[in-house]
Amino acid sequence: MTVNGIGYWVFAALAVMAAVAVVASPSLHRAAFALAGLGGAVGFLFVVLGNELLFAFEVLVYGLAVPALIWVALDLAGARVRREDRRAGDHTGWWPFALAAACGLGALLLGVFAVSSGSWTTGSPAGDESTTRQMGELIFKTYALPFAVSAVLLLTALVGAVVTGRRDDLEEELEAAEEARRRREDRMRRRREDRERARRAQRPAAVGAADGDPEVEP
Amino acid sequence: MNVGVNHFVALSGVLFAIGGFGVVARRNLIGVLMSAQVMLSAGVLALGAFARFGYRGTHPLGGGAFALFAVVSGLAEVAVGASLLLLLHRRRDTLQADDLDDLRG
Repeated sequence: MTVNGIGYWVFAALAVMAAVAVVASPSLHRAAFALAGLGGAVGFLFVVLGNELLFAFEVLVYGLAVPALIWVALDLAGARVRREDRRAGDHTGWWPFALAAACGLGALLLGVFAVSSGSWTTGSPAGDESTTRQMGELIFKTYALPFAVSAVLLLTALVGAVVTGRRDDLEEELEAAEEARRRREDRMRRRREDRERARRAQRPAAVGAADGDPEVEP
Repeated sequence: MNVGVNHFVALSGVLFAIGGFGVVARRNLIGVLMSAQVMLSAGVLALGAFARFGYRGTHPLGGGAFALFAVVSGLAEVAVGASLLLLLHRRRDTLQADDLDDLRG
């Protein structure tokens, strides 16, 4: 059972380049763009495999939803992250060890696949026609329970994200106290300036009286 | 050249290793989260390949169903992860992994 070789090599190269850009790009915004590109490349690999449903899921989730979430997180985190963004490409000091470990892991995986390729037993291939229909039946019949569980998982995660992301009472009280302190300091500073201005205004009059103004009756 | 399941699984291994490097070596936690998504994409790709070629007696499209569940899990992971990172940034004012060493033993 074979698939389109040219499509595979083209999109495989794009996927690898996008993955390298995600882990190596100095800018997090560009890395999020690369993640979207990776989602698109993997999605088209699913087209090469003849699975349109997975293509749609991959492009919608990894090509659009996940990068959008990352961009929202980057913007909500504010200017400080954008400043850090410039040095985010700096990897940890021991990145050569991480690179060696990743190369070792990749070599191990490729070695295992190469060794086992001869004994790899594929089953009956899925036909080229109506893959989406077959997968729909499979999900809603054979895997109905995991499907329901994944739906509950997604709902729980989204509710948890909202609850975690909102400000709690303590933070609001702290911010209110900080605002009140700032307002009190402003009021005291203004009062001090008023007193200082009044003292300056009184001082010339007092100096004039001490010098003996001729207009003033004894 | 014939492209079989081995090619897809090998590509999946390469993508997984690249993502693993990012998870270990990235300094910014949002970058770590994105690298973890690369690793998850690699797993989804392998499952999609198994959905095409089948494996022994299993249903050929069983891998596709698991790939869908993996994609949903990845989305949940990103939603919760981004929310936690925002909370962390609000409390600690940093997202650099090197600055978060409170549990260093």
